[in-house]
Amino acid sequence: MRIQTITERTDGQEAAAESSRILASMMDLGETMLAAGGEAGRVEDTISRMGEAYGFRKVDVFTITSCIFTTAEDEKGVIRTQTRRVKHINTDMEKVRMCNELSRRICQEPPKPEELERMIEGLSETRTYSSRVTYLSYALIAGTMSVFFGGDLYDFVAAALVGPFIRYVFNTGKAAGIQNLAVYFLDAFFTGLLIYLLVRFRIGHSYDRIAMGNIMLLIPGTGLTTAVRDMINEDLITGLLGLSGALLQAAAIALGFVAAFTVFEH
Amino acid sequence: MEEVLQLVVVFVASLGFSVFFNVHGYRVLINSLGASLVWAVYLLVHGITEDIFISFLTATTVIALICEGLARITRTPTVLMIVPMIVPPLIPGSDLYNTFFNLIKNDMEQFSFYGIRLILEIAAINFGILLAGTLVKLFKYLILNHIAAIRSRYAGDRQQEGENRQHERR
Repeated sequence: MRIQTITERTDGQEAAAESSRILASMMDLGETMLAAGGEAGRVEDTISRMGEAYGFRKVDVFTITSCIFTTAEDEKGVIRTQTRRVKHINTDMEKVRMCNELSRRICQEPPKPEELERMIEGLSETRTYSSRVTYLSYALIAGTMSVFFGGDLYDFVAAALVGPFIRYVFNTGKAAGIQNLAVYFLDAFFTGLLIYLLVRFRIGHSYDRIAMGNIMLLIPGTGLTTAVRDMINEDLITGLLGLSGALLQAAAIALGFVAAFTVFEH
Repeated sequence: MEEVLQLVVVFVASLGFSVFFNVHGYRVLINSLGASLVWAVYLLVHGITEDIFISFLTATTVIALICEGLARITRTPTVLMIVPMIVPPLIPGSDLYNTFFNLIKNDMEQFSFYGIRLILEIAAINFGILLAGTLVKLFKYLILNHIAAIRSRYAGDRQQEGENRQHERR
């Protein structure tokens, strides 16, 4: 009799540990998604759907730009809350897509906790482009966008020279652990100086057009648009945070270019 | 001629942005074609109406509708296609920059000019995406539900027929 109760209890504890592990894995997936630039609404949706598939009675998810909170009640009525903090958002569409696909698979046929953990660990090894290709893409974007804004062939060449420089300064600033807005300010400042020199040495013709092509790499146009869309989708807090972040970043970049102007006017 | 150049430039720029956003495989090509299409629609509508808001709205709605369809075929979240397609031609990075640049330079006239443009453009892009989503939901609700209803009625009829036949047999 006594032995039975003990086994029952350990069974219950095991089950409890299992549902806790499942919740943690679900949160890992949500965290990966949010860090890769998935929208808050999508993260909430994904976690609660997976919770349903695993037979949780009730799953409440709240996500804002940098945090995920989930409270879940499992089949036995045990209530658990877990929190995740996402500090850096690095847009990676391939990863968001993989997360989405994985969560679909999980919902169709929920795997065992070990299997689930293994699947989610596999997400850290998604395809990325090599750093050489990334630098090349910066040159390509800057060059073509400066032509888009009305530049000629000289402007294309000059802008394409500056593009990789932007990425280099950005990475260096990040590696040095400089505050985010300061990195944007410094990046814009050095970019402004470099473009001025290029125009001075007649490699480029129009300062404005070269600058405009390169600004597309720095300015948070996508962030601003996404923030407004979040607000329209009634994720008001996420939207407001994104909006103020984007505006501050834009201000830092404009300040950097103004500082560069001030330097070569004197 | 200038328009053709712009379409080509947008296509190439979108290739770059696909690397920027880490998009792989055939989706890169879809994104580039989509970006060029966005700009083509924009140029067309802008040529007729000469209105930024309407041109942005139409271009975004058209591409968002196409993306909703593509997303269902390729099982990719819609936003992952819309963003890389809209970024090179429409996302108002230059206006955002000019707004703040003029604010810092204390040129209030230019600041309000670019600021209002920025707000209009962002509103148009988001309303376009919202409009496309709404149209798709309405379409599903009105037409697909009808089809389902007709089908189930048809199935019900057949079931009843079967039951009748059973009665007759008895």
